[in-house]
Amino acid sequence: MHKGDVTIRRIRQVLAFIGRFVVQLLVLLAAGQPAHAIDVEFATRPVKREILALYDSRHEAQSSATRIHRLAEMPLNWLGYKVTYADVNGPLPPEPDVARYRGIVTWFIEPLAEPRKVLAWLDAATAAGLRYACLGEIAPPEPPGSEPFVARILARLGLAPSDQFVAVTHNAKISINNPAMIGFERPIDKALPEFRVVQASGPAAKVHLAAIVEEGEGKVTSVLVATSPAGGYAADAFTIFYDAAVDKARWVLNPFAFFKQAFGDERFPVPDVTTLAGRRMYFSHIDGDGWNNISEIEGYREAQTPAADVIAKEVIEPYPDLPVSVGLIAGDAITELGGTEAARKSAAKIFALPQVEIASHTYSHPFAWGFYEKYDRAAELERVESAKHPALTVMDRVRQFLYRVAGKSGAGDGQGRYVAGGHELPRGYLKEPFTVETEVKRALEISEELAPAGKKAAIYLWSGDTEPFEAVIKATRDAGVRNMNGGDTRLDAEYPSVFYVPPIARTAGSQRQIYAANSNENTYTNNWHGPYYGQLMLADTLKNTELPRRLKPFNLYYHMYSGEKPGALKAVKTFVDEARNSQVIPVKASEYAAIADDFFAAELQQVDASSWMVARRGALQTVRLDDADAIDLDDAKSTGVLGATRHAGALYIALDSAVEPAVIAIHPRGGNTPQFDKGSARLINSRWQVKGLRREACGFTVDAQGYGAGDMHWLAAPGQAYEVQTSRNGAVLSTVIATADASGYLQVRPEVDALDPVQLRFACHER
Amino acid sequence: MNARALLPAIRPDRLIMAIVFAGAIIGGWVLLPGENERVAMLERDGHSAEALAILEQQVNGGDRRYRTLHQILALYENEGNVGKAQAILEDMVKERPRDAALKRRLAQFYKNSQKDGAYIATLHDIIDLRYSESTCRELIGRLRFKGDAAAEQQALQRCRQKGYRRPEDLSRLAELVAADGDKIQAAALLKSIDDLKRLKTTRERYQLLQLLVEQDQPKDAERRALRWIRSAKDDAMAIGLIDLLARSKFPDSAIEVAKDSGSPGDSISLTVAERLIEKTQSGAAILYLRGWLERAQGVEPETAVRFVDAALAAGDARTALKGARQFGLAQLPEQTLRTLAAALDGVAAKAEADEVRGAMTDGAPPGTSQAPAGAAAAGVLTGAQAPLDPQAGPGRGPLASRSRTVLLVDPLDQWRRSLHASMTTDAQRRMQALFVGPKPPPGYVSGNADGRGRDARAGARGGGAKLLKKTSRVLQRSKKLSTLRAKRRFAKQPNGLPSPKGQLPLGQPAGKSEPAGDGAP
Repeated sequence: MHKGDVTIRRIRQVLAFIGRFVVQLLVLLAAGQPAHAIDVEFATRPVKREILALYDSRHEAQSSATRIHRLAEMPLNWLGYKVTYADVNGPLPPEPDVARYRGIVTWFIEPLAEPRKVLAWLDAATAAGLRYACLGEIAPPEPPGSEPFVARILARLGLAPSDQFVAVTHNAKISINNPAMIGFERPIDKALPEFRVVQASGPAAKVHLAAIVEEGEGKVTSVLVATSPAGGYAADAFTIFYDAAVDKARWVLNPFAFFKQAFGDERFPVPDVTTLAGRRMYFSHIDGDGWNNISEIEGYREAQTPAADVIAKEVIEPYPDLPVSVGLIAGDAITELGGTEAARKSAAKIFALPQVEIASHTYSHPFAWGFYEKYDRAAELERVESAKHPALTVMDRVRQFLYRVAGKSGAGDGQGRYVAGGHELPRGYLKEPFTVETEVKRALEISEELAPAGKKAAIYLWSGDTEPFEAVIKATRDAGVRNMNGGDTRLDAEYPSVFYVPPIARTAGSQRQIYAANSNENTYTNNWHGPYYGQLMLADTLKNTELPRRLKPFNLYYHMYSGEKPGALKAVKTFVDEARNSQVIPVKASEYAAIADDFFAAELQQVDASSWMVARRGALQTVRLDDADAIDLDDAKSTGVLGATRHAGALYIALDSAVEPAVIAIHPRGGNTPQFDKGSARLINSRWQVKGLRREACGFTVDAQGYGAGDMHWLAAPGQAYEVQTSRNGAVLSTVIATADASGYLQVRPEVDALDPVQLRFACHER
Repeated sequence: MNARALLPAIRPDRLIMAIVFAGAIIGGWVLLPGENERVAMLERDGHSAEALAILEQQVNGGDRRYRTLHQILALYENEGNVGKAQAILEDMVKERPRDAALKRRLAQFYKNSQKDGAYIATLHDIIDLRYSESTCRELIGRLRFKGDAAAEQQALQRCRQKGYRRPEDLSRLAELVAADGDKIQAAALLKSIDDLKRLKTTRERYQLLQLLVEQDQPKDAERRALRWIRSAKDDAMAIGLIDLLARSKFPDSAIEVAKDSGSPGDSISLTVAERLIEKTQSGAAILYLRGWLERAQGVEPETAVRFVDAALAAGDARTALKGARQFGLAQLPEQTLRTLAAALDGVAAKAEADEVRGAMTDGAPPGTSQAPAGAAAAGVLTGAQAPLDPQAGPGRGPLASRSRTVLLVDPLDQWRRSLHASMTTDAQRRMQALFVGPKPPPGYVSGNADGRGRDARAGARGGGAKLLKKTSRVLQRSKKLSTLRAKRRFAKQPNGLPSPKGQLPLGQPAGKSEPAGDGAP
């Protein structure tokens, strides 16, 4: 062999070796590399729902008396946010706490005592990334030296302050007006209010309302309402319009749109307190006022029937398919205090009805709860004395005499020294000193004593000004009952603004009071001065709180004295009939209160781009996705979900209380109705509460409980017939055959009493 | 037998008895209760159904008497039969188109049954039939609340033609008309109110003044401004009016008003100097300032600051120092002292400049760097009470520079703030407006909202204290009034509604209880 050939061969061998080495090395390296490039990891993250509201207790004594609570909290609740209040006169939340909030809202008009402190805190909080919605001024009076803070805070919103103020506005003109944000209930006033000049400093600010005014040779444009990824700003005079002549207010700004944009409009399932099993909730509760009043209604008047008996006979007994919570005032049933034995008897009769939920409307009916927060018995007795001997004119005395001759009670002519004849005294029954324990615990006990054995009181209904203090609310929680009242929703021609729709609850210290969902007859009857049929107008509020948004459930709330007047009784009956005949889900008042309480407890986590986990939701079993025309529930990927229904562009998702936590997944909505196989189904809506959905090979089973005949609507396998068997503890109560139509729509109406839980088994039925 | 034979058989007494007896029968027959009385008795006894049946029969039979219709209407309302009640009431009004009381009843019915459109239409009808101030007020208020400006304006004009003279609403008409561009009519309306001496709010006064100067009526503007200033004794408003005139085409009017309304040595008369400075009449301003200083007594800190600022703006640092000494160097805010010291340095008065610096809390010469604002704010979330950036003064950045420019060129910033304050109708906003809006020059440290000045070291006292004190007293009164109004408003409507404080007590029929009216808003 030639020496050169050997060399070439060796070189080739070496090169081959190197090549194999390199290839092997590359293979090793490649095998060791994770596939980072393609996988996208989505870390589960909590959905922040808490908004921090700053207020000044020097001008707004309690959080429940603030503009934010009365005006802004309801839209925030509706968007899924819960509001925590902090008084700027006390310590503001330190840094670790701040991180849990989604954003901050302020609505200052009056000057603050320590504006510097508030400005510095806001500057730091917004620098840390918290969104900030400013209505009114940031921190009046913005003393000298505060300009850099104000500038920085506004700069984060894409705005810049100026030192100009337009006081005479007849030369000013609106230059930008976004109708989706402005003119929500009333257009901008033609005579523009005065305004401070704030300018847009960059593209981040989306300007919804701006005004332009000539200033010398040039023009000045001022931003009046704007939102940005960092929050929003609305000049105070362009938020609401208040008219002193009619003493009412209306929103100019669209609070739903404003807060949605200010706090981020990304989608997340909103815990909903209006809907259950796909239907608007209905509940009814009666305060015991007027229990012993003699009815004037023909047929009852002759027999001197008390109003409570009239209500029982006309409104409760004939409607076993509708629950009602009845709040007895203990004093009405305690003869030593001024009550009557007849009241005890009628209470026992009412409480024995299966559809009646036991409640208490206090022991002695406080009118002014604030009086009892720092109770002074001596001061109370002084009032009793002066009320007993009021200064009466001659005409008053003549009138009283004539009333007595006619056998009627008149002004100042109370049932006894310690029974209030009106609001001149701080509570109704004053014989015994007030104690929180008596007022709550004893009152509940008295209701329970009059109820059948084992039937417990479930809810405490506030009286008078419905502004109980912290200790007494806590007493109700300690007693294991829910509490409710106050709020007084109206949304009709007389109160034409969502301003008059309250939020879900109010706080007193660390305690929470749930507001009633509708107003009682007082606001409709001029505080029971007439017209007594006034509560017929509830229909408008029910309609306006259903569309364009479902703001509140259907709550029929009245007093026993509605049994006095024919017009008032007619109004109540009109709405119980409506509840019976409309597509609602009847629930007890305590169940609504539990759902409302759990709005604040529910926790949301975003699992991935299109699914969320809902945990710690307690009694709350509905979440809502807004603007849902293009999306639908992904039944296959969801767990703990019974079904979904649509209303006003939103998707209401019914959750299964038997599964915790629930996972909600969505996907783009197809053109057709979703199709289900024989072993699956989706609940559309139901008059009974439904839980424990178990899918089978052919069919499914659920547990249910509710009032009246069951009326359920499902999406099931198209064309499939089902034998629907309703049973309880193994005993079959009814069996019907129901067939889904071509689109899978299936309706069943088991005519059984489901006050005690039943089981419904949908088994495939082959014809 | 003939009649004559019969006559002796009829005795006169029996004839009389027979006549009386017949009369009694006829009288008794007449006095028998008619259907309406029967119905009333049935109603009273609680037999509403029977009463209603009788009335319906009567009405269906053609009985359209007022009394019958009134009775049936009351029964329908009592029973809650709203539809039928409405029909009856509307028929009654159709049949009695000139009955204003009936129309008012119909209007109230529509209001109770929330038929807003019909309610407003009926209010129009009532006004057409017979003018009533309360009806006009209600109609105008409703239309304004709805935001229907055109209808509101029309209603205002119509009511005004009929004699409606409520100043607040006429003033509102002036605003609407001005917004339409008809400033002549707007001014005429406001003048007509003012001529009766009823133009009371600052906002209205400013609007009228602005309209007058826009219409080249400076003399009228001066006359009215003087009258308002003398009657109101409100320095904030006075200064605001003067400022408004100063910015108009007639700045001399501002000087005239200032001269006529101020007293030598007071804050209003100081505006003369400031006006002169604006007109670059520095020499005249300096002379005025020196004369003013001789007469000045008990000068409030904010006026003191204005004097010093004005003197510096006129270029007379020594007069500024003289004034500062007279008022007390310790009374002046840091920034003013710093500026004064710098000006004294500029005229080679080093000893005086040092004297001024000695009165400053840190004594640091200008330009000394201090902690940046960010660092101050950084500790806030940890709970530290970080002071605001004290370096809001000259040479500290673009914002400060701009403020410095404002200080030198526009010493009237405080008045603009007063203008802002005076323009707001809401007393609470007025208090806030006093401090917000047109920013004071750097170093100008306002007093607290209640006018109590605090230690300048805390940077919380300074210019505007006296003004604020006086104004705040006025505002406190206004605030009390507006708080009372608010309390009344919100107590009646705890969430905007007249309940639940109106919940009835136990066993008492309605009619006497009133909602507790002392609740917090």
